[in-house]
Amino acid sequence: MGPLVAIAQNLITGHITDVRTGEPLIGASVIVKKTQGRGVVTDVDGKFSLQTQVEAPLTLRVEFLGYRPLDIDVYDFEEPVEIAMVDNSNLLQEVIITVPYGKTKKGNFTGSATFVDSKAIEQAQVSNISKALEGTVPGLQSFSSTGQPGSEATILIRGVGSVNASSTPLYVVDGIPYAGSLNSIASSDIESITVLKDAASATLYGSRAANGVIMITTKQGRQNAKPQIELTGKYGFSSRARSDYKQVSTTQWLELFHESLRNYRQDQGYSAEEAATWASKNFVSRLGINPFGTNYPEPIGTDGKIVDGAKLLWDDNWDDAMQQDAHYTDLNVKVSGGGQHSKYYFSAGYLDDQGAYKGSNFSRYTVRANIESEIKPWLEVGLNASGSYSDQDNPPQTSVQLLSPIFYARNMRGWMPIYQHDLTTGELLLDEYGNPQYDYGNYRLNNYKGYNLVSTIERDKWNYKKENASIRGFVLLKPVKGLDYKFSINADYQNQNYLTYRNPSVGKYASSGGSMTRSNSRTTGITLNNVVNYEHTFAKLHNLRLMAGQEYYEYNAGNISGSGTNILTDGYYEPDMMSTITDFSGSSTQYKLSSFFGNVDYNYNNRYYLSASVRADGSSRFSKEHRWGTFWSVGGSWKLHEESFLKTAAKWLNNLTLRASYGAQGNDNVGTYYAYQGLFAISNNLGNSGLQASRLATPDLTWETNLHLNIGLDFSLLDNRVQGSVEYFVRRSKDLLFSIDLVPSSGYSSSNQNVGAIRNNGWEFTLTGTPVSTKDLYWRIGINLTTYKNKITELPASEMWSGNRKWVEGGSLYDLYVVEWAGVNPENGNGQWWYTNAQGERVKTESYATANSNANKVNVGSSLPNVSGGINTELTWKRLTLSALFSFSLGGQIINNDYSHIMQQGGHWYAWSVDILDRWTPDHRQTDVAKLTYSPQKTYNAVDSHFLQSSSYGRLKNLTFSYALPKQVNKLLGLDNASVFVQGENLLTICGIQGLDPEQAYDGTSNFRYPAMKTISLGFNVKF
Amino acid sequence: MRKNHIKHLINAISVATISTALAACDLETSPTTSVDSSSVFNSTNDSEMVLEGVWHYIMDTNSGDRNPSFATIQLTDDCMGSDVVETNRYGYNTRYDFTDIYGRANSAGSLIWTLLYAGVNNANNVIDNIDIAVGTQADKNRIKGQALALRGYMYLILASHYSFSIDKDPQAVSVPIYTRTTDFLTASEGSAACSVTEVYQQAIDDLEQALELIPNNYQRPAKYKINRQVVLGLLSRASLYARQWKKAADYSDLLLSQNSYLMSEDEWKSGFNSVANNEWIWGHPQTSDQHGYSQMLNYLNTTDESATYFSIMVDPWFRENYNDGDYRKDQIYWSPTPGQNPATATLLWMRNEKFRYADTSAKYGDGVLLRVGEIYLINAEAKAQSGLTAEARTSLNTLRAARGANLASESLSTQDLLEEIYLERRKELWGEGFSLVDIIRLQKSVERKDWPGDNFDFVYTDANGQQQVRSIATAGHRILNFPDGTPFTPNSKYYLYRIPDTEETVNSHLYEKYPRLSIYN
Repeated sequence: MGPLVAIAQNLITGHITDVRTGEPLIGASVIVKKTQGRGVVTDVDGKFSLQTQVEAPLTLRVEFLGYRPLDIDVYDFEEPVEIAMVDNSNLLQEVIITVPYGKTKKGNFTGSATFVDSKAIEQAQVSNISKALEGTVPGLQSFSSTGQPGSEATILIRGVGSVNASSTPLYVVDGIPYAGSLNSIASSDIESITVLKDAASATLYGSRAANGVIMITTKQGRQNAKPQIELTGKYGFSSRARSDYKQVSTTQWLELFHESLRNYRQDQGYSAEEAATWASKNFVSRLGINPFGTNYPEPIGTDGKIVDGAKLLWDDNWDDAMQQDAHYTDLNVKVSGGGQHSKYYFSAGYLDDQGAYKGSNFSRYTVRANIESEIKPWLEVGLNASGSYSDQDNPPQTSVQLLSPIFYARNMRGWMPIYQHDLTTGELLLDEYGNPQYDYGNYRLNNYKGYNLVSTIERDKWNYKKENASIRGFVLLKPVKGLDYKFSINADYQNQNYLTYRNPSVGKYASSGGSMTRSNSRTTGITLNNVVNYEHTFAKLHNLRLMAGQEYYEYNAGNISGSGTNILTDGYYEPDMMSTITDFSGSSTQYKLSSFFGNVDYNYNNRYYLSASVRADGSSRFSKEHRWGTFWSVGGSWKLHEESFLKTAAKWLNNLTLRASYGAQGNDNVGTYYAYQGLFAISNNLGNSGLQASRLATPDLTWETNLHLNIGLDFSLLDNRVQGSVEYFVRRSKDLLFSIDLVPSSGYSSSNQNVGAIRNNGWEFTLTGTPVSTKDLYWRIGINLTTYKNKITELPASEMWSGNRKWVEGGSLYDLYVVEWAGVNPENGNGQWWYTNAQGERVKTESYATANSNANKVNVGSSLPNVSGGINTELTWKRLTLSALFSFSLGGQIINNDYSHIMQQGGHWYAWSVDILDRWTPDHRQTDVAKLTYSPQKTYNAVDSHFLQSSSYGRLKNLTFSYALPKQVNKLLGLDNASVFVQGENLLTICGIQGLDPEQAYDGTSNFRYPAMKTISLGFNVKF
Repeated sequence: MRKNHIKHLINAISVATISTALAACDLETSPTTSVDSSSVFNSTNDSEMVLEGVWHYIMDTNSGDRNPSFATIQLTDDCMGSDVVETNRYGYNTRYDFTDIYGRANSAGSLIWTLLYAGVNNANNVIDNIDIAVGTQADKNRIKGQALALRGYMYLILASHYSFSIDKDPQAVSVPIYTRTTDFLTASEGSAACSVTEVYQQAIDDLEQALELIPNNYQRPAKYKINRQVVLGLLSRASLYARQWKKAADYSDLLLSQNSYLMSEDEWKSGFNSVANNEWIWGHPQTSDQHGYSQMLNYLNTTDESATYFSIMVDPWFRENYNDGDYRKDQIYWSPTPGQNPATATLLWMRNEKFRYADTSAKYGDGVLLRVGEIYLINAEAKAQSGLTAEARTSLNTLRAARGANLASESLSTQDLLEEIYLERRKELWGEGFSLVDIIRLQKSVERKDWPGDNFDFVYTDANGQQQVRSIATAGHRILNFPDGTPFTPNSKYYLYRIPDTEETVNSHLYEKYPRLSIYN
């Protein structure tokens, strides 16, 4: 301590508020400019008082996150200073984004990153964070293969960069790659999401960043802030976002079924009259039950019409019966605050997201504690710990699966009764207590026999219970100014217990005593790292930042599973209940990754920015010789608006920055953890050990590399009222891991090789405008667009197939190839397809099997949309705010298996679309719908070009209308802040195809997808 | 003070850093579900494990319910023949109507191809490595013999399903032959397909070598293991299919001299689900925890409600071929589908209760691969073809007598006797997977006759124990011609499995020796 000197202290007091709302701003920092003294922050009323030795006049610098910084001149210490700050949270250049191993201001970042704030995330009423990003980030596409609550969307950043290795981005939570389950993170705990797209942004996560990085940052408390409690609650109702495909009525269906029997009989060589008589005679026997009652043994006459007097005794709606009044509940409590040296954030949440269909619900409990403490000026420690428990009922879907509620609800027709009826009168048969009794359909002649999902969907189980724990801990040392060292230890733990249960009492499995599978899997992901940072400014102009680090990641997973039958009693779900064990198995896997990395950032006078990164990774997936991969990036940016030649434009040009980056990122996620070894699979054969050749060795297998060029221009005009950016990217993937087809007769089917290359190049646009910004009225609107092309530049074979997609050099990974439909033969009503015969002629055939070879398929378009994006807007008038997000996807084709399934010629007892009414008949020969027949040549899953449909759509993802309570009311209630709101998810869908739920898997096929949910809820938010 | 603290901290952290860096050096991991191929062929015991493993793979690799591993071939053979009526339920309806295996994109074709060639490759691995393994010469011989027999069996199935009869066009293309362990080059380029004659010959050569290597005194630990009787049985079958009548007669004679047991009526009616059946020479045992193969019973078991599909019924006309008193006929009768209430049922099927689960809740039963009944029929056919009509009739009648069937008369011409033998094969081996193979190798045609569907007075006992009679419609054959509307003919393109699309694309040598079958142009 130096000698005590009495110095005059001046006291400045003041009050800081939001210019629009007039609300006090808590925690804004105030400092006297040009002094070394400590600043102060505003208190809970937005007030501050600051002591200084500087005499008036002086200038105060006022800063608050999300607001434009202000310089206020003070001439008089007597008057309290009234400061109104302007909300700047949308000022793109100012937001703080999370980057690998640190944070930075977006304006200073040379890479391509998109920032999504907590508001946008919290408005999405979804139970999986991967679904909240659709339409918010240019370059990011979200594909929801299912709309079931709790399910995850597939995220692609700048297209598919890999073919056989993983294409999913790396998820990073609080700076560390996340190994847990995404649906265990509560959206209300998320402060922001930063999506890193190019090499400069992502290389520091080198090994796993080839497909982009989604950085999730959770909320923190604030230093010197009073404790605040925030309560949020939402309650609402969910249903299907779009109604299902329209189907023919039950009576139409029955008449059509008669027609299909008649046509089939004719095809077997009988005359039309004989066939019609046969169809009428055998109608009931081929249906299995007579919905017109036993008084009408031949209810359909030879003319194909229902005979006089015959009436349906029942006409049940299975789709309605399978659906439920779904509720949506989301409750959160958060406590945050901080003292002089520490800050804390605690939260707890509960979510209950029920599906539109019975037996498909998701509920979750979450807790979180984020604490950081500055123990000494040179020592900081922090711990983020979170835990969650979730419970999901997840019945099968997306396939032709009788146990799938979607498939079942669509295919059960009204003539099949839900409850047992008297077969003569149609009266319900009641049990001894007067209740209706379920009909399990033992009359059914197909394999629907024995199934009544209305009865069993909730009695049977497909249940996941998951416990997640995630810990992020660090020690930060600042031994000298500008230098810091951080050691962090991070662990993600997940335990998942899965139960499938078929009850032994009723339904299909009762006769074999029911069955059960219980499996448990446990995964841990541990990351340890050491990072040194050094920052220094030379000669006030040269700003330099250096970073070097080392990291080790280890992933362990193990699972055990047991199955059995002969369940003792219904309603008990533990393996003790099963008398016969049919299976017991278990295995474990391990993955290790060791890395070293470094980074240099330099800028000259905050005008020219340069950055370079390098990272080396060793992965246990590859052989010793090919284990290490080195990845790098360089980037630069130039703040043109700082240049003197643009000074004249300063009046209207607030920002103009040109950015460019280039670099390489790796991908080792080749689908197996033991990619290089020649293997013999272990099995147990009737009590003896068995081995079987399963894989040829591939010792040369190594990393896949993505080379990524990014050029971006950011601009901000007219007092930041118009902001935007344009980015161009070229993403080339080389040494692509291809699964090459081996000759099947060799005993092996495929082998992974580093061959081939693809390229994605495209444009991303973002534009945000604030047309109105007055004290009472504020309107902001933004749009983002993405368009890109995918091209295969090198392929290991002249052509390769992946389902309905064919790959050739020069083509795209998304090109769909199917058998070409050649219309209906007007002579006989059979479907026809084009095929190339041995003479090379293109001819029609009525045999789908003949036409259906790979060589014969034709390109019918791409599953990739031409343009996708989103429009978001916020309109505030006084205390009312309306905000909306609209996402869209234009272009792109889908092979609609849902539709082809209900357009079948017949055969089974499946449903028929209303479009089947246009089928071929002898009187209606010019049509595109083949004739009906009980024995069709073409089965449900046979794909051809006329079931290709446009998957373009637009969807109002969410709409929120909120009202902030007036200050006086808040005061009366003792609250700091309160609002109520109404929120809608997926309120409107624009799509040309009736019945299609257009958000689909990106492979371009649709298969009994669980539809997206429409959720409307009421909510409140209070802070005190 | 402050500096000291920092020093300690830095020391502590250096330790942490170094230890994590050291931990990072060891990046070796290994799977728990496989072993490295370099450590497989050390001892004869290892080779034996490879035979176990691949047998397990062939018998327990299902591709959806409709393709229950190896049994897929057997079920498909029956559903594509003349005597099975399929009920238009999931799975085998498209085999029954001939739209499935003719199409190359079908799952059955690629599964069968994969399974059979996995058998070949693993057998080749054993054959190539057994001589350098540690173990006794006796074990080496026996294991090598078993591997050869397995390979021969695979080629026998390939030859009889991927090509027409050997006498239709002996030089017609069949499938590729591999006799060495697959290396990377072979796996990438493949090998030329051989002629049907060559593939049958490979099968017979392999089996004959096996016969020399497997000792007579080998006591097999389980009925799925290959011993000399199995090899003799397979040789009889292979020689018959290859139309080498003398060999077929000799090998079947030799086998019958060692084992001529025909099951009793009780055994016949016990459900065809146990390797304990003394007539079974070779069978695949199933257990509650390993029963992929017996999922075929979900289709064949038509008496049990817990069977999932019960879709393989009998052609009502076919039943007429059994005379009264033949106990095989007792098991064939009209019935609604299992679990259906007879008071409300609308359709009766001609059920055969030959195949039933050994265990209803776990739904499994053993499968038969070779039994004495078939050997009698091979013997009879081979001898009739060799002109030994009297001996042929004796063999046929031995079997008929055991089943309670009328005996073949001495007045039958050789050709008529052969037809009797062919019919007896259909009656005796119904549901065991021989229908289509016989149609192909004998260049016959599928024969299906429309069933008028008249009502049948079905007698049943109701819930109150009262006997009731209801007149219910009946079902017979549903598909009476090929998918293109043409009548059934011999040597139809619809009968053969097709070489998978991928094989034709990737195997650059495939049609180097023999051209592709013209029926596919």
